[in-house]
Amino acid sequence: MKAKYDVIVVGGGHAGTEAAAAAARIGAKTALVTFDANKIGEMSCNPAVGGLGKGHLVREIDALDGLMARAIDQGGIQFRTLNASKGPAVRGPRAQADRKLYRQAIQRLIEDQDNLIVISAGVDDIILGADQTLSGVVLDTGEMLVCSACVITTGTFLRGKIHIGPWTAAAGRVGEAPSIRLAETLDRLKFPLQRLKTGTPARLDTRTIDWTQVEMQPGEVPPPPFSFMTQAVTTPQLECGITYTNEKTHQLIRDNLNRAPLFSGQIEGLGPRYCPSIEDKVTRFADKDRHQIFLEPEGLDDPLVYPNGISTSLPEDVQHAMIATIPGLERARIVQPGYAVEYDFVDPRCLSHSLETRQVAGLFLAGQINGTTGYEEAAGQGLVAGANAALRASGTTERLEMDRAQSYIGVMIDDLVTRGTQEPYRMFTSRAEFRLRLRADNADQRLTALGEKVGLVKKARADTFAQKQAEISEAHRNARQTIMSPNDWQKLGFKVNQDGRRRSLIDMLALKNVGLEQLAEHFDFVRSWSPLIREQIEITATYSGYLERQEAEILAYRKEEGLKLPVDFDYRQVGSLSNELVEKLNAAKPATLGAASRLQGMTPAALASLYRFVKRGDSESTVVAA
Amino acid sequence: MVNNSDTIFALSTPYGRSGVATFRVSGALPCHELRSLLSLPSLAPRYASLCQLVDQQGNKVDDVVATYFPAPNSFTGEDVLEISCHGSVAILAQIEALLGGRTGWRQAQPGEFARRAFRNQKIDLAEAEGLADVLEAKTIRQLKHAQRGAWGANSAAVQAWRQQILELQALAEAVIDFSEDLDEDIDDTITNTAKQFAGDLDQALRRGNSVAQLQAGYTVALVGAPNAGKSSLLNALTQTQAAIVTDLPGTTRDQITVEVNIDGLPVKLVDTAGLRETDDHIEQIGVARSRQAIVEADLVLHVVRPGTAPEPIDGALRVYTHADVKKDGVYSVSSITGEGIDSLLALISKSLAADLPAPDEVAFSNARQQSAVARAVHELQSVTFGAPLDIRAQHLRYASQALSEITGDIDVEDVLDQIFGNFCIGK
Repeated sequence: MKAKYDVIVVGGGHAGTEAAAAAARIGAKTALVTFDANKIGEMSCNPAVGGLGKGHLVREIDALDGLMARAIDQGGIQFRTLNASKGPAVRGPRAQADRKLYRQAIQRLIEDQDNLIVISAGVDDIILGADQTLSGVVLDTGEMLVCSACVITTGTFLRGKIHIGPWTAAAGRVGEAPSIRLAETLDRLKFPLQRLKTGTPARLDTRTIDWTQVEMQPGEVPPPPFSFMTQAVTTPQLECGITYTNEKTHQLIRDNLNRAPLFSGQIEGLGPRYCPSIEDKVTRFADKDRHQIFLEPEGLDDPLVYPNGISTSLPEDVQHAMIATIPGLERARIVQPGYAVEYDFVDPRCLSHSLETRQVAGLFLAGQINGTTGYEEAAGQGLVAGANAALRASGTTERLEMDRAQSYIGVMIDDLVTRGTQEPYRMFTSRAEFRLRLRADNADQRLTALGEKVGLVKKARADTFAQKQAEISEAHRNARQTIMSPNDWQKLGFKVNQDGRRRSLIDMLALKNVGLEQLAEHFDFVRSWSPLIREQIEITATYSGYLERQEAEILAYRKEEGLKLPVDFDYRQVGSLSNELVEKLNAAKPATLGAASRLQGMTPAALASLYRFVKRGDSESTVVAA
Repeated sequence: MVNNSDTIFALSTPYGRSGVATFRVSGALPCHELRSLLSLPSLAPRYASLCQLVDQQGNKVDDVVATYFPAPNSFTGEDVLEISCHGSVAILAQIEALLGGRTGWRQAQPGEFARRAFRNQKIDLAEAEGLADVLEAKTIRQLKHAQRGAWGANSAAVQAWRQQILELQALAEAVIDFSEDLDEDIDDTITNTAKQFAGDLDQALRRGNSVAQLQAGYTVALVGAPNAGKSSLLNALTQTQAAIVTDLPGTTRDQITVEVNIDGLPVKLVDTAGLRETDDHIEQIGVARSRQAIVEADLVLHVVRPGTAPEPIDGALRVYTHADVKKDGVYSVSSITGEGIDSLLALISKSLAADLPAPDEVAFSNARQQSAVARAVHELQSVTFGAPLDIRAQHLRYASQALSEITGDIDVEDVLDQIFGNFCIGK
């Protein structure tokens, strides 16, 4: 008798664990299938979570009751808020992780999750039933598992190939076999596969580093937690080191470029521009006399140090010589050399916004297989794919789909499925049109109710959220209802323009010279606010006018999103489009006018033509807006 | 609705009797079809061929010179054929019937060739708008300023702006998204650069206002007391007898307008009823109109008879008449001898054109472009010192969006390209 599941998740990385947990939270009987259960929650690259844009993603995952934020709060050994002074919208929480503690935290969360079992095996093939609909998977043991939906999250394992200098090996991570059979399956099903590249630096032994020669960077005290559910971070905290390359390092690299796989043509995949290897940096920015290196401890009792900033695939002997030129690292021992890894990814334009493939109903893809990079990007997709796989398995037509005005996860998925990607896709805050609204601090206000609606958010979080919302509403009410004449404000000692305009407490706070401290002296209710409430009120005042403007833009955006474009349609019929745009539109088949507007090279004139065409509805296949 | 895949044709030269007239055809024009139309064994691209235009029965219509421009190297970016024929009205009618009778061929709508050129990215919107102004130009000065747009001088400036706003946006976004790599204090740089940029744009906008006025034409009103010599002066300035001249005060009761070209400027000269209290109902209306003309004119010439002392008119240029009898004031002219008329014309020209930019200075006179630039200026001015960087970056985004109506869109990928091209990112 074949085992039967609602949802099977292939892969136990950051996408796979979120997918499995999300599916199980919704109530689907879920199996997480992975080569090695002990590696679940492994951080294959740098030991850190969050950052700019990425920290936003983690908060959103948390708002939907996902794992990542809670796990890093248990495994984090240094917490900082990046961009603290650059405005509330672009503040990014970030934490260094103890690899082992993080992995253990994830594994505990998976273990404690109802409806979820873990199977240690590889997946070689998927089984299709009628109408190209997924009906199960085949394990490398030959066993078949029946399921209604499957989420594949194989990371860099699809035909993974590692490079260290001229040496290459087939592997997903060092010492771990790649997924070849699954890649062949995807080939057979005519998925568009392309190749990408990423890399890591050498890992060093902390006991061989001269820490007196490097700058030290402490974390924030007290450490600001990621999860809306965490009261306080209790893990001991560490400092990170900062050192720099120098002219000697650069000369050494230049002398050995002929042995660099990146430059010799040995690597064909395209690497990320925002995370270049040190050989790339030295070549492209030849005038810079030094490059920064963060020395990140991999754990409280782990001797490994991750030198962030010098990812490389140069031969081992060059790596040794290069490290020895760097202050503090003169005698550092390389425990594992840096390497580049090339892997297959699926052009994500074959996915719908629910991350289900167009080729096979019931098959979902999430994480690096979709051309992204980063734990947070993977986890965000995993959560969405897992939730939608569970929803599909339950027979409902409801899906968890977020738009660009709702979340960074929505921005990411929309970018991927409408524009695809040429390099490993990473989140940046610059990608979000509605950046002032999509903040890390209000992720719960944006998403937790949505999560409750689809069954992702459990009671404990729902209750905490409801209580916080009630407090914020009351604070807002009090602040808005406190309205006084300029004369009365002046009597309290505030400098106000005597223009006769009555101002609320929020209006006052929006003035440059008025702060909460000053207001707290006069109003009891302000004194009673918790730091969290104070933050929310201050942000409301800071963005006064801007958020209203953004709301109007969101209305316009959603109107465009509401204009559906026909799916099977030849854009040559529109007539007034350039050939180049016709080709792009025919390739991308955007679902809405909004999606069409985000194609590269789209012009306002062409959009106007599309709009007129859709509105006129003079093609039989045109669907006019709801 | 216009079908954009039709082949379109139009007589490109004015209709009527002429030595040579030229038809232009644009669309998908396979070479072999044209060879039979032109009874030619071969048709080399971009060579003028003397040949015979024949109708569908093979009868010769006219000897013509035909030039074939295969796509994309043509004005519209499509296949284009130009046919020059003899400019007889009868031949023109015959050729129009012949071309219009071909399947899928039709008369072009006004501006349709330019629209197709724009669609195929042969010209950008600013150039298309400039081209329209060139065709509208009636005077040399109007032409020179229109050519700024049509010949791409504005477009080059637009490209430079696009680069400027892109760099500014990239700087702000880089410092936000890559603060761990770029630990620079750019707060002042961003606001100072934005303000400077706003100033440059604002200047181009102001220059554009004067060009817009040049394109619309100027109005110069001649006002003053009855019998001051306004109508004689109008006739002298325009070298016409447009206005009736008598010795009787109040002869001009309604306004008389004459369009003249003064030193390349299109000017409407308006002769008005003399300003005085009167019981004559018709004259009262005329006087009211004169007062209105003072308000509306770009320049008011206050015409004064020597030896009288009228009430001053604000902003008006006082011109004394009857210089042949008695000289008075700074500007003294005689409509009879012509004395001072040339200097007065020069003065009018100088005064009207005072704010006109040099033809090689960037100026935006088109209303659509002006509105976009004005919005961009407003946003750039809102990039204030002390505001959080995310808010300043938001204003830069809005400015970029406004400018994109002229410069074309700036996509987030353009910003990222700029960041990765100029900053060493990635720790």
